[in-house]
Amino acid sequence: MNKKIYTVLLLLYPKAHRIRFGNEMMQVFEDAYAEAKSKGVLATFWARIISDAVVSAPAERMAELENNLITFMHNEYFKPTISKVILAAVGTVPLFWILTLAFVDLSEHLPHPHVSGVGVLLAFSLIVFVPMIVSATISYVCACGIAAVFKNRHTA
Amino acid sequence: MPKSELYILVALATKEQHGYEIMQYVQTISHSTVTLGPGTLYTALKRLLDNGYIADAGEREESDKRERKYYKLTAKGRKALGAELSAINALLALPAVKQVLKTV
Repeated sequence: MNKKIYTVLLLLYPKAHRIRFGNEMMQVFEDAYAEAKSKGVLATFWARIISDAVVSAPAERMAELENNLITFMHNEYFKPTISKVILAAVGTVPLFWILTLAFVDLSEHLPHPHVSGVGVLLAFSLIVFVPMIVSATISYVCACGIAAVFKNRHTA
Repeated sequence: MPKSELYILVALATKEQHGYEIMQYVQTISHSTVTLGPGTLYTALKRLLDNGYIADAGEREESDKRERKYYKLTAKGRKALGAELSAINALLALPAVKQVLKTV
C-alpha cells in the first residue's frame, strides 16, 4: 500500500525525471519507510514525504518547462532569418486588417457600456494590440513553415 | 550553490555512496538542519550530475540482495567543493563575522 501511495506521488514529477530517477527514488523511499517503521515514526515520515514531493515536483516541472522553452527558442525551424521576418511582416498587414475588421464588427454586436478616458484607451488598445499580436504570430509561424518547405525542396 | 548540494558534495567527498546513504549522511553531518527526502535528493543529484560535479559509480549489490546505484565525486566536483569551502572559510575569517558569531 505504501509503495502504491508513493507511486502516485511520483506521478507529480515530469516523465523524463521519473524515467531517470523513479526506481532509485522508490528504493530510497522504501529504505526510509523501513527505518521510520522500525522507529515507530510513520506519521512524521509521511508528513515529510508529502512535503518533499510538494516542494520538489513543481520545481522539476518548472525546470522541464524552462528546458523545453530554451529548446524551442533554439529550434532551427523558428530561428529568425531576414527572409522569415520579411515574409512575416508582409503577411501580418492583411491579416491584421482582416482581424481588426472582424473584431470591430464583433464589438458592434456587444453591449457598449459608457466609458471615457482610460476605458476608451484600453478598448482601443485591445482592438489594436490583440489582432496585431495574433496576426504577427500566425504570420511568423506560416513564414517558418514556408521557409522549411523551401529548404526541404532545396536540399532534396 | 544550494546548501543541499554542498552537503551532498561533502558526503561524496568521503566515499562513493548510494541515494539513501547520502540522505542519512547529510542528515548526520548537518545535525538534522538539512533533511532530504527522495524528491529533493534526486532534484539535487540531477543538477550535480548535469553540471558534471558527480558521476554514476555503477550498481552494487547490498547485504539485502538489492542493487543500488552509487555516486562519486568528479574532479570538477572536488574543485567546486573546494571553492565553496574556501569561500565559507574566508567569510568566517572576517572580523565582522567573528564578532557576530561571538554574540550568537
